Amino acid sequence: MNSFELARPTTLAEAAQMLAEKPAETAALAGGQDLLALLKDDVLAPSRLVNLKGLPGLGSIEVDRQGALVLGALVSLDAVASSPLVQKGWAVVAAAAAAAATPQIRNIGTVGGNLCQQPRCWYYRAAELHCARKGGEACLAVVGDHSLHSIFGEVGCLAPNMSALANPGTCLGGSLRLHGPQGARTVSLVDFYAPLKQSLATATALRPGEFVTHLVLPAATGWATAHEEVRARQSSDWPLAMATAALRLTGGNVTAARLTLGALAPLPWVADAEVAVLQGKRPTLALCEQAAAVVVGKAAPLPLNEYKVTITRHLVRRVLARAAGLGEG
Amino acid sequence: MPWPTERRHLGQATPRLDGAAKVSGSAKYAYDVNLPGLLYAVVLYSPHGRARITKLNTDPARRSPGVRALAARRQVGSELRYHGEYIAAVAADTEAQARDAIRAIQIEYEVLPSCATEEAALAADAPKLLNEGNVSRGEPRSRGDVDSGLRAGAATYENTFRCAVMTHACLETHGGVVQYEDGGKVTVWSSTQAVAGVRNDLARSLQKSPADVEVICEYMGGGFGGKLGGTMEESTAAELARQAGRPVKLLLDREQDQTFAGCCRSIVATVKLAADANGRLTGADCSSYGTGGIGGRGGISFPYIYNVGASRHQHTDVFTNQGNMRALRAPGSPKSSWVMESAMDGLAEKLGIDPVLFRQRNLPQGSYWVRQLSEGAQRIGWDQRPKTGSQTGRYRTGYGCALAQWGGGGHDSNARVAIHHDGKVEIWCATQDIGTGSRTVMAVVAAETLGLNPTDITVYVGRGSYPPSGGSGGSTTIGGIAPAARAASEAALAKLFERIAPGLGAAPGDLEAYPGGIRRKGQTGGLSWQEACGRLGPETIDVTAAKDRSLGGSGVNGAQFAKATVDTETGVIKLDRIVAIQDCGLVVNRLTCESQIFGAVTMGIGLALFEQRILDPTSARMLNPNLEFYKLAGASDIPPIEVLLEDHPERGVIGVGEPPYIPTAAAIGNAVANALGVRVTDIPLTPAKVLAALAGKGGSA
Ligand SMILES: Cc1cc2nc3c(=O)[nH]c(=O)nc-3n(C[C@H](O)[C@H](O)[C@H](O)COP(=O)(O)OP(=O)(O)OC[C@H]3O[C@@H](n4cnc5c(N)ncnc54)[C@H](O)[C@@H]3O)c2cc1C
Repeated sequence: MNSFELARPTTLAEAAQMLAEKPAETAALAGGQDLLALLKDDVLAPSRLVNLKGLPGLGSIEVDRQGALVLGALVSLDAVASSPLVQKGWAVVAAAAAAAATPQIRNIGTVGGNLCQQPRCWYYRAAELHCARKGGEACLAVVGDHSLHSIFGEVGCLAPNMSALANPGTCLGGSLRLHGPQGARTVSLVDFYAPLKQSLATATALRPGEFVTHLVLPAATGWATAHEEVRARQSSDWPLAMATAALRLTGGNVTAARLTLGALAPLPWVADAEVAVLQGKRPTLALCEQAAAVVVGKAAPLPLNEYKVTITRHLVRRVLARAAGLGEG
Repeated sequence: MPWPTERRHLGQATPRLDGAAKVSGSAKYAYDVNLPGLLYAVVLYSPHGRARITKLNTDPARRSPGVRALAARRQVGSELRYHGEYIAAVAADTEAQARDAIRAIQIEYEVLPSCATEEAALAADAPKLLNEGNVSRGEPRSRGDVDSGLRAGAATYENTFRCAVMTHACLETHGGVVQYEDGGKVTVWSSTQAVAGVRNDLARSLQKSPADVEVICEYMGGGFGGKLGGTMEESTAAELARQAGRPVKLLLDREQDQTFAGCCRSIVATVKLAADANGRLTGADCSSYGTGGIGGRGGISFPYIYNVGASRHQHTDVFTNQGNMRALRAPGSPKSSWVMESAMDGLAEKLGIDPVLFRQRNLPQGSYWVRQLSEGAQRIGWDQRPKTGSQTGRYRTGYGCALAQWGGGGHDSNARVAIHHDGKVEIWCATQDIGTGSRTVMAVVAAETLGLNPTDITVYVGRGSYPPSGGSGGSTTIGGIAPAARAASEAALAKLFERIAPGLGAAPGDLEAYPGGIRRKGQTGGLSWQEACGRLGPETIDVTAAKDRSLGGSGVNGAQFAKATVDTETGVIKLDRIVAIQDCGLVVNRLTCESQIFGAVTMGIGLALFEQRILDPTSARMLNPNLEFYKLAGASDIPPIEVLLEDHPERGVIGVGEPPYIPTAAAIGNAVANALGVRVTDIPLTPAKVLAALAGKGGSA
């Protein structure tokens, strides 16, 4: 681990300025559950860490006047999981947070850190290996062991987005409030991760000096939702696949359908177009199954992660069916 | 004296004497040893599966702040054959300085073509990894005419079963602290399963007398066979300590622990069994290969347990670019069990005979196994076992069983017992408590013999200089230390009788210990233990005795049953229940004995479902040298485990650390095959493999 300077801003403006001075050599520090491991393993070697934990106003869970849920970037995953507010109005978010990592990590890990976590790929995380994500020529997982990697979304890096919050957050139409040298702005979660499609060097829409201050989730009233993750080991494990479904039902018919997948693509995988087969119809298990088949029709697995296609097909059927009130199907 | 027929403590549930120390954190492990002037050592190890060092300049490390010593283990030109191989170590004032110094070493590698798998090493165009080649073919071993035995069968079953390479994954990594004392003696605090063995090995490598080397291991955080020898960490720390003239702490980081410090061989075994129409085996054939790293050798036992008629087995060791195997809990046996028991179930299915019945027909009549199978079947609810392949729903539940066999005879051991005039009793032995409860066991035996309670006894273990005992491997510990504790306690008691008998107007032979005191045989009252010892005066009783061999036995059995439910949409297996029936002769302490069985079954679950060393196919670099992706069974993966512990005092003490690990994975695999109607032939049974088998790819009947 390199020596680094620990900067402790006390205002948002100060934090933005400290982050902006040498953006390539600076990292924001929240709970450190991800970042400190990367430093110790010499994967990242910033010369300055800007500790966000002293910043005001980022630690609360609130509902704003529009009925949207506003989660401060410093709120812990455990606080999200156990908040009655979140459990009541955004149950899939509480469920996703409760399923992430371990109790210890959930106590310390934050909303902002969860959304901005670095790729959880065993090639990326080996300091000696120079994979595409670190500026190398090739994604080593392609010819290597990609059993835990993406089956959707070609970006030249197979590392999937593993964020427990990005998955339901994207499905519910969430957005992020960012703060930077130019002040505050809001981007949708979809746009936040989209730059990865352009370049592996830009994992998010964060500009130099910017950081996440809040995750905002619109009121989910009128949406029937379901979330599930599949993992091999029941006691704390990274999911093999995550899915969140949201359906709007009017008079028994689907008037809007959304589906987001996690752990399966380099960014939260929005499959709203694929589940549009439900649109205008009375949901049935057969229909959910059909939608699931369309979703996995887009998959391009490699030999070792083909099994994820099967898992995903069933998973999608189940979350759609559950959201539609059809049970597990 | 034989074991008593009336037992106050033996076979009872005595809590660990060191339980409070462990849960409160006051127990000190090697890592916790901090000495004045202590230096921290860090190792530079190969990041590559196979490479040659083309440049190595350690000067910048020597000049790095805080660095006091450096030991190079490889030079320019050295070929590195596995990820994790030692290159150099430095010792510095702080751990951070040592890490910085390691990073300052200028080293370049020429990466060489490597073999991550057996198949890669066996390929015609494989790079030659060792001078002797990549393969060592063992001679076939046969009994009887196997070909006619196989032909004679009414049914045959053939399949290829696989097991991945696993690691020991001890919570406490390998290593220790070394200090040179004034006068040239060396003290080593080591995380080891063999204080006496490490003492001898280290004395040899340091060219000292064992009398000048003390090895201390008060507590250790898991060894599982990987800490029986191989004192690379201790000897490197000693080298650094000698150079620096200061004590050095060297414990491996997790990555090197997972890559360098031992693994368990893989197995690919093609097995063929035949049986007549009555379900009696007529022949068994197996050809297997596997890898235990770059030099490891060792296959499986075949045939395993059953009377198979004629048999043949040929094993080939394949060398690959990964750290070498070391003994791992019942070396090879869980994999022998996986191969044999899977095939047994496959054949039973083909014959249409119940797997329990089929097993019983091929076991020695009247053996423990026959009875244990019946008891286990009853306990798990075997009559609920569905017809294999009859289920169609998402969740499918199955039942399976498998057997174990182990020796467990004790190693040689001595113990020293002291009785003081205040009634205090102390006992010493150069064994170690590797988490199995050795301290408690010795206290139970001494208390039983002296008429005291286990908490009255102070036990000292974990020093190489104590009366000689053996390493804790092969389940041999309790069969050494319990009889030694008995012999030494008896000898001390005899001394006590000699000393106090005259004052009581009795002959020593007239006296006996009873709960809490000493009395004339057959009388009700007597002296309390305190009063009796009070008559000793300042001259303590202090005797050392070798174990009484008649107190130990050998040969344990065991049967396990698993009930498992498979989610056919995800391939995830959930265990519902495990029943473990285990004999081990005389049960010394029910709690620590059962605890061994719980632990072994838990490890067996890891073997069945999760554990595997994953190497990058191109570079042979280990991709999961951590506990995040090298997965051990956690609390939520462990179902209710019902232990049926048999107590056979007439057989004497026999070790039980390893046998309950043997059958778990095979029992789980058989339960999964029963549930699905298709057999997943490759452990760990990951979702990928389960789903492939269900899709008709990679599984078989
Ligand atoms: C064993 C293990 C298991 C895990 N399992 C899961 C899991 O199942 N699901 C899951 O989703 N995660 C998992 N995590 C990942 C992660 O640790 C947690 O999700 C956690 O929430 C990270 O939060 P943190 O505050 O500790 O982040 P940090 O480590 O402080 O930061 C992580 C990254 O985000 C950046 N960052 C932090 N806050 C901000 C901000 N406000 N604005 C901009 N950038 C920011 C940092 O610069 C850094 O790059 C796991 C981690 C471990 C070690």
